Amino acid sequence: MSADILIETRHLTKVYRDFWGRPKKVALRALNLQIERGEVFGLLGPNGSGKTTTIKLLLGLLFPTEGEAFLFGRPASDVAKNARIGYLPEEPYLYRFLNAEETLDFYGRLFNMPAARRRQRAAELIELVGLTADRKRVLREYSKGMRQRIGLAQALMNDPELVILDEPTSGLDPIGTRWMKDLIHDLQRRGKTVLMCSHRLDDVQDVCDRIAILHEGELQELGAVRTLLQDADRVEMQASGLPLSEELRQDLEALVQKYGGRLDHLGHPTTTLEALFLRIVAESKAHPGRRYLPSQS
Amino acid sequence: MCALPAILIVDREPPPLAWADWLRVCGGFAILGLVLWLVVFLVGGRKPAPTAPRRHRLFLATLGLALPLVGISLLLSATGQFGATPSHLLTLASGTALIGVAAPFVLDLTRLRPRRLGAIAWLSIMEAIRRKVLWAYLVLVVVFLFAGWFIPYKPEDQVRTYIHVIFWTMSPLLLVTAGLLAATAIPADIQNQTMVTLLTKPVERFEIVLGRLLGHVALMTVVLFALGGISLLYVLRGVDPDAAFESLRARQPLYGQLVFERGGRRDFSGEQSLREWDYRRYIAGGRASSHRAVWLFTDLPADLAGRPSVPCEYAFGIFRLSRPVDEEKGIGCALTFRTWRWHPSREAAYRQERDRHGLTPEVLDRLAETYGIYEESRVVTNKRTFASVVPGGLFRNALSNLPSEGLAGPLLEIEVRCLEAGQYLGVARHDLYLLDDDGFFASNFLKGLVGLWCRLCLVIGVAVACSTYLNGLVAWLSSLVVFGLGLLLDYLTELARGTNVGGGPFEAFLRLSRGDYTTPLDLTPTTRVVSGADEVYRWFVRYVVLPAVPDVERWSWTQYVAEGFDIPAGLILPALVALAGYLLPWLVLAYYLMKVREISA
Repeated sequence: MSADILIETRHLTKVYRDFWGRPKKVALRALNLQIERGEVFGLLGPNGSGKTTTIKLLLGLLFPTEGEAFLFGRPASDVAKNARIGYLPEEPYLYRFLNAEETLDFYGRLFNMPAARRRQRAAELIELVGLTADRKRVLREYSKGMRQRIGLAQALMNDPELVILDEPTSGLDPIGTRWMKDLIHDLQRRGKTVLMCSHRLDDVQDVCDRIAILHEGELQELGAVRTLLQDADRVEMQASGLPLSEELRQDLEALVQKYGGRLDHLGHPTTTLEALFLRIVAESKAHPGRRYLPSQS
Repeated sequence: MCALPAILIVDREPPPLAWADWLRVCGGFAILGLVLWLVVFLVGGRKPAPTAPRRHRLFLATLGLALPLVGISLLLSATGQFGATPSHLLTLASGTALIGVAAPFVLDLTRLRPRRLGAIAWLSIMEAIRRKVLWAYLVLVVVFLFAGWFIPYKPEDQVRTYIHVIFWTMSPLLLVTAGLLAATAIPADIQNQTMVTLLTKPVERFEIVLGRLLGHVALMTVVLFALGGISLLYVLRGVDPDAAFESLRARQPLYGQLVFERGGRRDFSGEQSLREWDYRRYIAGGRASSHRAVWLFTDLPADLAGRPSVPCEYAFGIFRLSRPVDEEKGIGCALTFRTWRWHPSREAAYRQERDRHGLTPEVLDRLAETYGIYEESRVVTNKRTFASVVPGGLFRNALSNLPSEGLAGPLLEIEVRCLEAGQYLGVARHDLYLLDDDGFFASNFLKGLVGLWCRLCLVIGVAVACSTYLNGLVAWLSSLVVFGLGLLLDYLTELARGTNVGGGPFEAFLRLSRGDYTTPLDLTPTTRVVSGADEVYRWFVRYVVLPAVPDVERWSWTQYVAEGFDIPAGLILPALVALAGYLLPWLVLAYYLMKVREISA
């Protein structure tokens, strides 16, 4: 296994069995996968497609029925590998009777970190996830978004080389979603490898370099996002400073026809709803008191 | 002579620590576990995880060695020609299986880290505190406030009654809550998925088990000794002087080794009574009887020599062949105290001097110091405690001029004879003792709490081990059942030996259905089948149930505290070793159950 390959699965299969050992469900079938250092990799698939099973097999929470999984060149069952991994589950499974500081200190101790280092790292992460004001509140008083943030903080406590995110934007508002995506980009810039699975395809498209699509436990598609999404039969052109007019349309139609094509659409591009929302919130912060008036529509 | 109401009845001494038995029992369970592994994972087609081919080879190798040894042992045992050989073979088989099962456990212990264990232990404590579980212990305060209204006691029984109330309240309260806390922690982690987050950190699975165990033990230790401290204050307030004299002390008895003598030879082990079960052995009475019970004291504290006198207390059983008119009258017995410096050749001189000077305390003290002998005759009644005041001179004699190379025999012997023909005197080791200085009641009370602490550790350990496989409620009930069976250990032993009244369950059912409770069963095909089924049941109880049941009475010392007797260190240390020996196999079981457990949503 190359040093640049952080995760590798070979014929990884998981069959859930009943009490008597009879096969109940094939959750994952012969998955072969390689994830390289420094990439953001997305696992996609509908519910029950085997995404979470794959992640749990990689983390050693489940044991494979057949095949093998390796992380950092070591078997997935090796506990020591966890020192280099950060994992954020879909629903942050944390102790709700602890506050944010205690939570991070507790997980820091599990990484065998000395007290001074734990305190420093906890303070940094609490600030990073924006919970400084709420660091003394017990987690049961947190909203879902806040729990997701503290969940992310615990996943980063050990400054991991590999970050595994299960539905990272679940429970986050659009601002939190954008923040999470920026953070993933930032992790990648810092050389970290990110494996994420998500139902929100736009999120995956925004942040992932490569994706694997699973369906009913089988790998259906694997490759770079850009390559997979590229429509080779169509050409897109964007220009600025041009007023839309009938004359422009006719000229462009003639030009396209000259090269054997057909003009399908000419018009102003639309932005994403996320971009619109973020712009409005940013303006509202910059100009307090601004509000919607019917005449503006 | 004075009769003392304070009686320490030790009906059953804790069995000695038997390493070979422990090895055989644990090894037996190890063989059972390996066979189960073979069936479930290899024959059943399950793939054990995590993948560990080396471990599998070790399991197969040890099983391959152990099973033939067991087979040969059973074969030899069936032929009955080779005496003790099968037992050695069984020990060898058990040891082999034990090595196979324990080796991975021991190797993995090197991966444990104190910081991680401490973190998980801390989590357990915080969980109990933040979830306000500790409020349950306020129940004890209610008991303190109102117990006095409902519990009548004689003034001299005040301390004794309070001690019993405190221990009887604290024991179930602490055992039930500790078991509940310990049994639900790991299943709750799995159910709430917090286990997922834990196991994605570099945490050994056994660290979770051990951390939880240590956390709950630490928490319950603090709770136990805090409640104990409050209870002690409760006991000490306004104590009646009679009660203080009887129970607010910690008598330190010095026990000797009991041997029996018949016709001058000590190869006799006493007569058995006709009672079905008796803790004591008997010596025949009468002037002509050569039966003696002798306590040998090989070690005596040096400070006894500096005292004017040393009390010696005793409580014997009486077995009568003929009924006297007044059963309360008691029977006569003679006690002779002899030091190692006594020599029969000086007996004439001793008796002459004794007869000449009379039996004043001063004379008896001087004679004891000079000759190393002191004699006394007493009338004792059945199982009541009496005291003799032994002159200090006897101990000065015993403890002076000791040879530098040490003594071959005991420093002091106390010989007891029964003087009345037709009567038997029943004695056991703890029936006679010398009294050293009293210890502190408070420290003895704390030692009593150590017994309860051992029981708490037992329940917590079993509950945590069960919770690695069972859900919280079932694990809690399992721990209570194990503890409950421990309380019934004597009865279970009778069941296993077939000495209980009414026979096994099948015979009992037959008798109930026939309405015939006492007469021996006729030999019919039905009774043969019933007896056979009971034999199988007894085998199961004897070899599967009994070895897994803890001897919880070993950790019960309330009687010592209540009666004002110091709990000897010789009782505490073996109890701690026995606790560790009992919990260790449970921890190994928990290690494997946790190791193979999958954590899914």
